[in-house]
Amino acid sequence: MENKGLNTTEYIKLIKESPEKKKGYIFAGVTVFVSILLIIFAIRPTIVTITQINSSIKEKNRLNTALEAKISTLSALDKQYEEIGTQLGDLELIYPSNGNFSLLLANIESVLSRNSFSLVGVDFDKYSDKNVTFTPKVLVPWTMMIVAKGSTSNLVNLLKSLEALPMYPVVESFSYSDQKDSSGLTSFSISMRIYKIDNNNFYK
Amino acid sequence: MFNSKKQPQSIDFLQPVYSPTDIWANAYIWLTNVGKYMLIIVEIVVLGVFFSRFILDKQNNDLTEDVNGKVTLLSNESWQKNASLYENYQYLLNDIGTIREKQEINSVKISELVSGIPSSLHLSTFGYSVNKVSLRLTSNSLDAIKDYESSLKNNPNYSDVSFNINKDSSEIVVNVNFSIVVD
Repeated sequence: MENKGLNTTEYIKLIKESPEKKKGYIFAGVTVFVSILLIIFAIRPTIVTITQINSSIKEKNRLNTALEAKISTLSALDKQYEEIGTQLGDLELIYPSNGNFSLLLANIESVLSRNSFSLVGVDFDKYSDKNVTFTPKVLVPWTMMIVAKGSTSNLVNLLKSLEALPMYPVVESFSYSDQKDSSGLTSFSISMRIYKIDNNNFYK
Repeated sequence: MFNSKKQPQSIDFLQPVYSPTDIWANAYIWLTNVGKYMLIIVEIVVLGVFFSRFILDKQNNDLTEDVNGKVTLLSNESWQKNASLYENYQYLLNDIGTIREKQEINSVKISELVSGIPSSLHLSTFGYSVNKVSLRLTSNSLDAIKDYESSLKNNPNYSDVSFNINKDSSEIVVNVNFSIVVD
């Protein structure tokens, strides 16, 4: 009622420049400014950090799963080793890691006598040929030369018996001639590829 | 533009306070009606992200502890020794499987060779070395030698067959060399 004296122009001016409207503009300006500050200094770094933490969590989850799998595999292997450890230990005799071919020699002597052959000499040497078409990871080819005396009629059986030994040796070369000694026996020279392991701590 | 029904009106209806072409007025209306909700959403997002860090950090720390615990367990000397032993056995068993399946057994080839020599030929020397065969045969029958030569040359499992025939006073001596074809 106090404004009754105001003319229309003043009244419109009062409404147009009302304090409420000014407050509104100030509020809008402040909120825009604050929201920009929030985006730059709060949201962006937080989201960057969250992304980094997320990728770190993913990586750790993957690692954790892999470690869990390794632990469970090792536990399972522990159990299996308890059951078949003795049998696995026999592998050391078949594929020695210290160059001790005592089991092979014992087997060869037995195979030779079973086929009516007698052992004259044995020699071991590095494997120099390149006849191995596959690449074993731990087994190293080695050469074993055997000189034996016997009958030619038993030769094929002898070679088959030699290649049937548990080490899976292979007859690489052999030779003989029909010259016989005083006992009527022929001398044979057999070269075999055998395998050993070049790591003394392999079974430890 | 937005929510125009709520626009304050001038007393003079022919001259409104906020004309539709006034950019600032529109911006003001937009800010007070839409912008504030956007700001509220932004603030909610900020708060949400802020609080989610508590959860993620906890998860990350728990995982770090788990991983460290497992690494410590696996670093144990006994575990490492066992792991190395089992790995060696695994490689060895794989190798055994490989040599059992992939390597060629020569005794079978030699058996076939020996059994392929006719009884009319006497084998005096035999040499075998990595699929190379050399034989020294003696015989009284040239026909038997010729038959053996043709049988070797016609056998697809053998190649580079060479016969060297010498006639001695009493018998025929033949030196035979050939290779075994590898599949």
